[in-house]
Amino acid sequence: MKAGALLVIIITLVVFVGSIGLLSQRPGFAPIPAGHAELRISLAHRAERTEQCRQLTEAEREALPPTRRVTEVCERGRASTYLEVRRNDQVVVSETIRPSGLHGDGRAYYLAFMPVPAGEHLIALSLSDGDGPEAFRIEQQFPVRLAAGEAALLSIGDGQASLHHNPVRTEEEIP
Amino acid sequence: MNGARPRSWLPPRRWLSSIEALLSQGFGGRLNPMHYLGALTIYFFWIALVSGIYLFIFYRTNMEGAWASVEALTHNQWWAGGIMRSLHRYASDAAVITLLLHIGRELLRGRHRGPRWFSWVTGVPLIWIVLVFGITGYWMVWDELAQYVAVSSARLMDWLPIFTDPMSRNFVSEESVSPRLFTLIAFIHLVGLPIVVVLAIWFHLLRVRLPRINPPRPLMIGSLLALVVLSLVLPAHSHPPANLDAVPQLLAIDWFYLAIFPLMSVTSEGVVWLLGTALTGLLLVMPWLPPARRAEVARVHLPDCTGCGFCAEDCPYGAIDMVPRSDGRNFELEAKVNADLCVACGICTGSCPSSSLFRARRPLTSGIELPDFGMETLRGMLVDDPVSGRSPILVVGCDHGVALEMLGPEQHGIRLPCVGMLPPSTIDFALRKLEYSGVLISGCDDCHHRLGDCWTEQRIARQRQPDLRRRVPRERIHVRWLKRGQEPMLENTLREFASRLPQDQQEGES
Ligand code: HEM
Ligand code: SF4
Ligand code: SF4
Repeated sequence: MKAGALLVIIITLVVFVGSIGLLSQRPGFAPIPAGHAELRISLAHRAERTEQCRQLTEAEREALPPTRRVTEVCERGRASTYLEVRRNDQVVVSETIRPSGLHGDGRAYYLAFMPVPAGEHLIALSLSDGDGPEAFRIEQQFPVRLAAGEAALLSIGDGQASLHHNPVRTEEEIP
Repeated sequence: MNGARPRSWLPPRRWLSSIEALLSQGFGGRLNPMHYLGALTIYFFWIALVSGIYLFIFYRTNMEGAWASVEALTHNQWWAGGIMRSLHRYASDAAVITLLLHIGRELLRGRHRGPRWFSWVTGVPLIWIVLVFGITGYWMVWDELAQYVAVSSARLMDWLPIFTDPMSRNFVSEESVSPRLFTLIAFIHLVGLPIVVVLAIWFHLLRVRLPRINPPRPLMIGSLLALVVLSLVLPAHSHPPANLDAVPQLLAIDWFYLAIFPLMSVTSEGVVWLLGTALTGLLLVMPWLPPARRAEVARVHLPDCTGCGFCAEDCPYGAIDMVPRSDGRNFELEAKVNADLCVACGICTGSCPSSSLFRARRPLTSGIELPDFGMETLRGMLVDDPVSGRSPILVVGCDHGVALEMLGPEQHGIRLPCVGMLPPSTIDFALRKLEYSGVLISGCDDCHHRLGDCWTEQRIARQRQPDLRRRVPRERIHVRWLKRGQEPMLENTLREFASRLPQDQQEGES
């Protein structure tokens, strides 16, 4: 085999495995900026109905087929949910969220992953889901101290909110 | 020089040809990796499959055990499991490289157009399948990278209005994480996608006759060794185990499979979907961009067809069917061209025993011919050209090989759509009737139409019908497959071939 040919083969192989070796792990990537933590906001909230359930009158019941003669009917639709989150008095979320489902009868869902600088934060939550008598409101504040690489989850479920935070680093590492 | 149909190549195609020419010089045309990109892709999947089966033996298919089982495999048996793990990753990466080159090469060579649209369009879903295959693979490790990939892919899916309950809610904390989703993804990676890939490749090759699905053995061994060396030098490692109560900091990303996630992190889910959809759409319409008139397909001339079936046997795209005789002649079958499949390569003309310049009739016809380039055209180029017989050597080239324009005015070269179109009797005719001392056949290295090169060699070697008569002295024939850009090599070959030809012949005839 001629030296030139051998050189071509070697260069091809080196470029081939070299590019695999390199691009299969480099350059590295940081999903959040250095020195940051992540605030996650997850809402799954069943808002109040747009119309109250009501009892059927006797006449209305008579009009229904015998197998479907229920006593109460409920409109399926639900109200939109208004969600506001402030971090250290700065509004970071301000959203009106429609209920899910074709008939607008499901939960309202909201999900955000938000990089925040490591350190102390005061997370304030306001939520309301309509103006009727069953309308639901939350006004709550959660202080939290996050180290870089930690995550806090502000979880808003049916009727309650909580801030979940499992410290990962030791105390000294927190700036 | 005759056969001056216009042939203009855009610069990228010329560059491709130059790079391939260089590789052919190194590896030799028969081992040029660029000629086996599809086959190499399949081969790298084989390596991934075999190494994957080994990994699976030790792998724990659940969220709690996955990371530790991979870790044990990597460190406790680095000499087997560790190498297998690295091979699994690197072979999958290699498949992406050959796949990208395969797409680019077919595109630059214009092999996505005309009836070949089918292979192109059925190739496009394979890109997605391969991508999802790799992405789900990175879930399997359930380390910080897997966590990032899982959260990002869930967010990507959530952008589509299909799920009411967002999938990414599964990944907001260690408490919420769903082992069932993990098991589903493992099932997709370990069982679902391997089956889908095989079916999709089968579909992709449905219209390609005798596809090359295995690279030559030296390429297999060489690339496997190279990947093993890489696995030893740079063994694949995991990140720390996934912890959904934290967020990964710096990740070593496999850009071959995971590039979309950093793209999503710096732009948005919508941008990734938009780009993905736009690129897929563009690839899908590419065969018709811009719309062009199709070359006229081969036509059967029944008076010359005896129904021997050679053409159907040789057509690289299976475009010829043998059907019951329709003209009442005393033969059982006749050839019939399926216009949707015919790429107008003319190889069938070379297969037909009736294609012979020894036949005196004018116009000269054959059982099967291209309307734009039939036996009469060939005769015109060979017999009626004033240069005919003046040079000692007749050069037969093709539309995709070296540019015969480089030949001097005294040298006679003819350019066919494919050298596979050359009926072997033409060589006999050129030597006996036109009194050439030699015939140099120089089609493109890695036949553009596939198989034209094989059939030519086999016909000369009398391994394939119609074959070249035994009486033709083989030392007066030389075959050299070259790429465009290798014109100087053709010159050398010509010189060397001329010096080998029997002197008396040359003196008597030139
Ligand atoms: C897993 C991915 C793929 C594999 C394993 C694969 C494999 C192959 C193989 C083995 C051939 C036959 C080559 C020959 O015999 O000369 C081929 C041909 C081809 N492939 Fe692919 N391919 C893949 C993806 C793609 C993609 C993504 C595209 C384009 C978007 C594509 C376009 C083509 C075309 C245009 C041909 C030429 C068919 C012809 O000769 O008419 N392939 N492929
Ligand atoms: S021209 Fe080529 S593709 Fe068309 S029928 Fe003949 S051999 Fe087949
Ligand atoms: S090779 Fe010629 S004779 Fe034979 S089937 Fe084809 S067209 Fe007919």
